This record gives sequence, C-alpha cells and structure tokens, in this order.
Amino acid sequence: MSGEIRVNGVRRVYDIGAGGSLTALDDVDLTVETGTFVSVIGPSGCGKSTLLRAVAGLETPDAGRITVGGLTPERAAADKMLGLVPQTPALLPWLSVLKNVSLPKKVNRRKGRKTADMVELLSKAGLGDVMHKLPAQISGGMQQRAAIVRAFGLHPDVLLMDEPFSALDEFTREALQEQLLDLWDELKATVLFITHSVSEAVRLSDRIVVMAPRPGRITDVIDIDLRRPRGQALLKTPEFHAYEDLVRDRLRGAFHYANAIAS
Amino acid sequence: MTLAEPEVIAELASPPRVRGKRTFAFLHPAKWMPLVLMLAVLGALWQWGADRMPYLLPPLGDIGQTLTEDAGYYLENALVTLREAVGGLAIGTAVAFVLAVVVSEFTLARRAIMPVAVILNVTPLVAIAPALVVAFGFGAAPKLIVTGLICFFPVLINMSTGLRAVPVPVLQVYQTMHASRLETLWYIRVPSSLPYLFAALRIVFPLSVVGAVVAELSAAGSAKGLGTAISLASSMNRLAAVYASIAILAVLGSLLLLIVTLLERRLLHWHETRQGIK
Repeated sequence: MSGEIRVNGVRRVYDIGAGGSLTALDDVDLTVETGTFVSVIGPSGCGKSTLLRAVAGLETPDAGRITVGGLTPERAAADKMLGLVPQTPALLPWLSVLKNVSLPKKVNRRKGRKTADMVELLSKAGLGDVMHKLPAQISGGMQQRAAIVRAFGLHPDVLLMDEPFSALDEFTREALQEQLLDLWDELKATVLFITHSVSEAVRLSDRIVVMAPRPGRITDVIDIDLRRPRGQALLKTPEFHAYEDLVRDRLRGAFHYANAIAS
Repeated sequence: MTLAEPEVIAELASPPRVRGKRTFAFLHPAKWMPLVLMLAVLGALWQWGADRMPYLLPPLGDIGQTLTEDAGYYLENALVTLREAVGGLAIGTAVAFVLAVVVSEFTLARRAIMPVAVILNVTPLVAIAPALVVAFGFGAAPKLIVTGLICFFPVLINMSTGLRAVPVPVLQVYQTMHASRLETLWYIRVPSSLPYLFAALRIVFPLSVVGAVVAELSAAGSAKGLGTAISLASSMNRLAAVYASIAILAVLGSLLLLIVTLLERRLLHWHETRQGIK
C-alpha cells in the first residue's frame, strides 16, 4: 500500500473579520514519498499546522488538491490510513493507557486493518509497567509516548505529527525522538512532522521543508543525508552541526522575509 | 529505550500510595467529633428555645415520642414521598439526558429546545403545581411531573455542556480514524460528560424531595406523603408532628445525597477532582 502525500497548488485563506483575510497557505506544492520522514519547520503563522490539518482531512483547502496514497484525505481517513499525534497527548482520562491505545481498533470497525499487538508495542515503548495506569498517573513524557503508540497501533500508512514533543523538557524530548525513530524503523510509515526545533528536524528527517509566513508558503527544501540509525552520538558530530547551521540560516531567511513584510 | 530510564527511576523513588488504612479513616475522632459537637450545641439551643417558646419550637422529646408512637404512619408516608421523588428524578433525568444528546448533536434542535427549557425553568414550580393537580387529579401523576420538572433543567444544562466539552485534539485524533458520530458520542462524549452529569445529580437528588413535597402540599388532604402529613398536622396545630415529618424529609434528602456521592466515587475515580482524594 502506498503512503505518498501529494500537495498540489494548495491555498487556504482565513476570513479574520472586518473584511480582512489571512493567507495561511499560498500555492503550496509538496510531495512526500512513501516511507520517508519529512519535517516542516518555520516561524509561527507560516501555515505549517494548517498544512498538516489539511493533509489530515480536518480542513478543506480553498484551492488545489491533496492526495494521500492516491486518495482524498477524507477517503484515506475512512480507510484508516492516517495516524495523528497532536501537540497534547489527547488521551482519554477515564481509560487506562492500554485501553486508550486500543480504542482506535474499536472505532470505524468496518475497516478491519491488521493491527499491532498493543501490549507488545507498549512494552517496546517502555510503557509495559504502566499500561494499566490512568493517564493522570504517568508523566507527561509517558503520556506523549502513549499517544504515539496509539497512532502507530493501526499500522497507518501516513503518520501526521503536530509538534508532539514541544511541551516536553529537552531531555525527555531527545529520549522520545530516539524511541520514535525505533518505532518508525520497525513499522515504516510516511511521516509528516511539524516542529519548531532545528535539531529535532535534522535528527529525525530525510528531508526538511522550510516555510515562511504572510502568505504561508514553502521557501526551502533541504535533504538530510545522515546515516541511520541516528543515535545520541550523532548529535555531537560536525556533520550534524553543519546541517543545523544550514537549516538555521534558511530559517533566518524566512524570518527576515516575514519581518520585512510586516513592517 | 535506555533513555527512558530516568522517568522510571523517578517513579520508583516516589512513595507508593497508602490505600488500605484509609478504609476506616472515618472512625478517627477528628473526623466525627466536630459534627457531633455541632449537633449537641444545636440540640441544646433548640431545647433552650423550646422551653421558653413552646408555640414556636416543640421539645425534641415530643418529636421523638410522635416518631416512635406513630412509626408506621410516618414510614408509610415517607415511602410514598420517596417513591414520588425517585420516580420523578428518574423521569426528569432520563428525559434531560436524551434531550441533552439531541441538543448537543443538532444545532437546529438546540435553538428550538433550549429557550423553551429556560422558560420552563424560570417559571416558579410552586405556581405550576396547583394547575397540575387540577389537570391530573390527586394521584401520583402531578407529583411525578413536578419532581421531574425540577430535576430536568440542571441535568439538561450540565449534560449539554459536558457533551460538548471534549478537547479539540481528542476529537481530531478520532476524526482522522473516521470514527462515526455514534462512536464519538458513545466512546468519547458521554464518558467525558459524566463529571458534569454528576455535578447536576448532586443538586438534583436531594432536590427531588423538594419537588415531591411541593406537589403534595398543593394537593393536600387527599393523598398520602410527608407533605400531606405536614399540612394536616399544621392545620391541627400539632407542631411536634410537623417537625417529625420535616426531620424525616431531611434524612431522606441526606440519604439521596449519600447515594449519589457513593455512585460518583465509583464512576469518577479517574476524574481530576478525585485524584489525590483516594
């Protein structure tokens, strides 16, 4: 099954009242090949979250076309091809961790996908000891890990992650990046990952898409040719730093452009 | 995986929660002493007042005497009132629950139903009760209706708020799995509205007794129930009998509150207001 994401000439304009409008996405083109990990990075208001929501079928573009594995996002959702990891863990507080990650199997059952053994997957993510606890009884990092396991559980073709680690401390964040890469390596999915963090984007991605605001658009696409697996040691290598500097330079360009327009 | 260890260590380091000891915590004097003292003071004040103004307050002994001598009479009437209260409570809550689901799922239904519900709520029930007695006679029907009406509104308002108070990211996660409306309702909206439902039930359980008594008072002299007993006794100037009925009503209300509290403790153990109370 294919998990290719194709975004062609997508435009999304928000009506902000008093006759004003905000162009969140202006003629955006992007192709994410099956099985690749692509991060989108850019300053606030550059439309990166809007792009993710549009790919998830949570928002309808005003112009242009999006396909996921050749289908519209709505059809892809109906076929349970998508997994979403939002910024907050969004776990249900009355269900144990295990029941939380198992609930996706119960909804939209007509699409019987072969699903993972959730107990095994939780153990793999280091949540084996806490799977019968309630979300409120575990740490924020563990909650976010549970949210990732929930998304991976359906073996989605496409995983959509909206700044999933942004609320975590640096240390937990790096641990979770490593686990995400482990799971991804095993379960293989196309990943569209929204982030604010340069080092996170470099470490995780095959390719980084830089966006700029007003109007929201793609300004740069950078391929990251670092070997995998990308363990903790990689973070200290000169190659890694070189990529970080490169992305930071391109981002600065996006920021400058935004400020020039604003003033 | 090794990088997850610091969190695990932190978890082990925090002391495990003590549970077993709490079961008999209510036996500790610090728990029951204040209330017992308060009741003793109130009882003494009551007796002091009753000695000086017997036409205002009957002595506690007289109330106890009528309660024991006519125990059968009070029990019978208490059961009638309790049945009306619980019946009306069940009807009012069930109707409100169903309407809350309809109202939260369909905007057009909300626009039609909510204003009517509000009008019904602001109209004094004490004023409606006599009209219902005229319409439905002295049987159980008007009592169930009044009690149902009094219980209806808090449940409707809280449930319709609770059903819509699901965080957006949660809804988005399940929307990208194409969860149906019914699945979203059943797996997500209804459970997450339970804290709101129980907030309403804590008000409405004791309130149902008020509804039943108001209805009985409007149809006095012809049927049973503690409301009837009160209006009969007061017309005969039997103050002790009036307060005996009032005391039973207070006990009934407290019992209903106790039931709803126990239910809440069982069903909402996961809710943040209960975390840490355990």
